[in-house]
Amino acid sequence: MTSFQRFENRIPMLLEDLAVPSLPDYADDLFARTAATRQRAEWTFPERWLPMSTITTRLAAAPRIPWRLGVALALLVAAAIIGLIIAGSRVTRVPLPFGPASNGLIPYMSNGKLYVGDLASGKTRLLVDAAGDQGQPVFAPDGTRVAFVRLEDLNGSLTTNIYVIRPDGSGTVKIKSPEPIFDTDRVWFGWTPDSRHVAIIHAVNSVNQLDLFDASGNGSVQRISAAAGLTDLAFRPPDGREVLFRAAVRDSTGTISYGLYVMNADGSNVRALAQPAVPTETLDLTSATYTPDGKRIFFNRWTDDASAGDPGCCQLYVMNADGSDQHEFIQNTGTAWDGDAAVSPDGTRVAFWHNPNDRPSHGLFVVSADGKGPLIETGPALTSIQFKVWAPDSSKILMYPRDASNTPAYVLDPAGGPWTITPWTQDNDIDWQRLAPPA
Amino acid sequence: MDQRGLVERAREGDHDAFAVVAGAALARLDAAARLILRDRELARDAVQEALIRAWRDLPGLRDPERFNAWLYRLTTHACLDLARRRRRRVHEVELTPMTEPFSGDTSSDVAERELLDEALRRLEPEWRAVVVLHYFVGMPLPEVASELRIPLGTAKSRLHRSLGVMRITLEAAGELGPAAVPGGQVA
Repeated sequence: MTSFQRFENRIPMLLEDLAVPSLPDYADDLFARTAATRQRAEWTFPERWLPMSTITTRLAAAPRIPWRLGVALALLVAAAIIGLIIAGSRVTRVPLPFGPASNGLIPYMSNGKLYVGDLASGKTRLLVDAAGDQGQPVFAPDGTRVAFVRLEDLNGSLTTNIYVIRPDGSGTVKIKSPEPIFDTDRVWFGWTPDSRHVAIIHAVNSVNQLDLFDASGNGSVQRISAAAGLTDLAFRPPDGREVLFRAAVRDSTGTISYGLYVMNADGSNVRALAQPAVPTETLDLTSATYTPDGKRIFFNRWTDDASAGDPGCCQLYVMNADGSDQHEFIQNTGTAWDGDAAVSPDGTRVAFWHNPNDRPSHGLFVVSADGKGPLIETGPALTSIQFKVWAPDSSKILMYPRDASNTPAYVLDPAGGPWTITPWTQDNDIDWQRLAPPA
Repeated sequence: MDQRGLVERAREGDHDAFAVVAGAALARLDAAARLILRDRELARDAVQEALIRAWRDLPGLRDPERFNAWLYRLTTHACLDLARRRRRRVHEVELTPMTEPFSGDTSSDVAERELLDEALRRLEPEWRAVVVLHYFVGMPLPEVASELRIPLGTAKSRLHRSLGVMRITLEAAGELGPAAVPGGQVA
């Protein structure tokens, strides 16, 4: 044994000596603070990909009226429209960014490697086997490429890097960023409807910003500062001309609340759809999503309903795209919590998590998009919320329990029939490639 | 009542149970945070942030047996968040010397501890986190990687590089002989 090996063996003891564990003097104060803090219901954790700092420290200014913004997004929309026209004229047909499509491949992560799998045949293909921490694969709306996150070391700090690859494993492109995006600053990323840009929400000097990176990797990036403070977003079907976003707003006392806003794609005309109403509540106005026709918006609303026996949670709300007619989607305040709507691509049904108070577990339920008719439970009873995505043809739902890891995903029948599992094990990032429907 | 039972009670809203199980871990959480951050006040902030979050989110903890590992994960991430925020603010983390009381040391112990202290200061907090979770908390490297959300290869690399810094520090202080090189010659 070398002298250094002897030293290495003594490291645990030396660390104990360096920081002798003793009950700190702030213990009483700490537990007084925790006693004054409300616990959440178990399924109500919003931080699917959000690191703790994102949840607890994100402070932001109120969205500002974007007087000088706009040209960039106007060009983006024009490019999207032109792109769709061009795409439609190509030999290789691609689907529209919203609405029904044919089912393609399922991207998934397993043991740090990126695969695509074909549910029908059970065949899988390894796309990325490089060293590094990869994750969150998501197909472009046109189904031609997959974007994924790779965490890479930069002087000892983990940085977020977005890569794009074709589903055949070719054409890998690293999306260039002028500044490193630290892992803990990344909030969300996804594709723009034109499939030409990757949108990233990340914290810049403690304020979330929306940056649009050219997916070709040419280094072009546009910051949409009209949406400063946003936590997530949705492009409005059918063409993405409007962008819905949730943003943190700080009032004169410094208290943070969240509001829902929409802006034109050119960054102009920011208007509030739902004003901040619940101070400091990070669950309020989450999971906002459009119906495929772009006419309505589903979203979670925080409700502090003591009759439900919990400190408070969510109800699923719906409103018109202009913010009018906000109402609880299914009247069950006091009897159940629900939220996180996913509307089927054909627009006929809504899948959402639902937890009646009279049962310990909860699960995924499906109901007609107008909220009428029976609630159909599909899949197993769950102990937590789930990640879910509809098959592009609306025939199935791919579901992964939030608290699972490295297991198969569930393939559910929206009509409540028997469910199956994927032929592979994977992590919890789920998505489904959209292909052009048969001509 | 055993820890699992206490965690289950805490998960159902029993704050007294939480105070018992979290209190039992508090001293070592605080020590781990001090090792990672090298700053008592920051460590205090990190532990408080982590435990408040732990209490708030405890109903979402599926496996009570993972309670302690979960606390270390929350604390470590709180440490790294604080370190990063501070690093951005002042461009570099100010490393505060540790002045822990101790007794019964031999001069060799003191020397090694001081050298380890110096070596730790040279490491980025993310590296120190790997060292602390592995050597101080006693986590196997795959678990360290899992808790830090980094690939196992990255965890191994960080530990290896951290040990390299320690080796250099010790060599510079004359505590080690020169490094052996392949072939049996001395570098």
